Amino acid sequence: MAVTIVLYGKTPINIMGGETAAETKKIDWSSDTIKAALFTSAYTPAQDTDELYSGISANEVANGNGYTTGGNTCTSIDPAYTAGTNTGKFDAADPTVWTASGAGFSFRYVVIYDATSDVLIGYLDYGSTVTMSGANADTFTLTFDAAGVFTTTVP
Amino acid sequence: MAIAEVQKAHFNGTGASGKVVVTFTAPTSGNTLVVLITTESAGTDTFVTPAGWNAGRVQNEAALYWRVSNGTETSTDFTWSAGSVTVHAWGIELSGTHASAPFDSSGYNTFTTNTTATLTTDATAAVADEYAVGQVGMNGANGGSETASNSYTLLTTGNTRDIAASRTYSGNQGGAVTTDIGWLTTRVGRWIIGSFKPAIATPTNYTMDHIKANITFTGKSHTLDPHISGPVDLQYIAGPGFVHTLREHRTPY
Repeated sequence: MAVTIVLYGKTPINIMGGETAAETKKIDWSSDTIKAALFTSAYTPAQDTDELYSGISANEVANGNGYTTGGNTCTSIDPAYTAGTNTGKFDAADPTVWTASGAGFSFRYVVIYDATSDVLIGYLDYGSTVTMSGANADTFTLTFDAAGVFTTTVP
Repeated sequence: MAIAEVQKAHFNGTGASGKVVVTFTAPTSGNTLVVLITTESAGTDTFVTPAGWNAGRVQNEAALYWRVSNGTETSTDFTWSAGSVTVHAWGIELSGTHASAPFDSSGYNTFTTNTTATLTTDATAAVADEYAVGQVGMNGANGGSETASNSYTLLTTGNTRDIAASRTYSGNQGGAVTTDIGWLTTRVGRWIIGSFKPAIATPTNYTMDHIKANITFTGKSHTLDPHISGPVDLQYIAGPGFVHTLREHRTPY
């Protein structure tokens, strides 16, 4: 299924360095560790107020059975500007495929965040709970848009 | 598909024959065949693994063998090297088992002067929905009143010198498989237990194709208010000898 990522409201500000000069939590797409984490249906995304991974991690899928707390790393992060288009592309490699084991696990949301600064970037909603069977070794594959995780444009 | 017992039968073997013959009625190729053997007495008997069979666990007083059936195992001799030993065996055909590596774990121990034995595997069950079967062998008639705990079912009753029980688990066991088997008369004996994995269903591959979002940076309209850098002086002559200066400060426009 195709799902458009929903960026958290404060993402643009955190890309620009945060709300205050003293704020150290910001998104550095060129050097920080970007991760994709799975969250259960107990998580209710609050686009306007959710800002930190640590603030929502209580609803992350429990560690074990094929899932590791914190999620999987999106390597090869690559911010790039396309000349002549006023467009910035924030790209990354797809996270490692999740394979359930043991008792398996369930999730609904994928949250993309900056694991270095703890800052949330965006989330994707599967629409309903996905139950991953460990006995069957079910897998979950997240494929990023070839156009990037998100883009910026200047008119 | 849950693991199920397709057929099961009890067999006896004596030291005089040096073997116990385990038979299956037209086993289905791909099913798992399990053979449990316990002796009546303590000793140093060495069981011999028949060709084509796998030794899940072999001790001096008990053995557990398995194989994925090719459909032809209608009769197999299980032998041992020592002399006069009486053994009891169970042959069980299972459906719904893992196609190539059904055996998971096992356990074994001996006991003295007991009316109960706790059978348990050495390791945690590897996957959910496993099947477990165990057997207790003893040195004399057990007196009846055979029981098996933890929802295990006795394969049969009344064999007097051995008791076997099995269970197909549902869901994740979360630990070793275990059962307490009891009987009436205090006996010396030994037990063996093994667990088997279910067939693997075809994995479901969930996918999510991410679609990017865009952040638009929008320029805002701003007012440019230039200030004249200094005051402008205006002069007029009021009369002879008097010069007045009017200093005007321009306000921004």
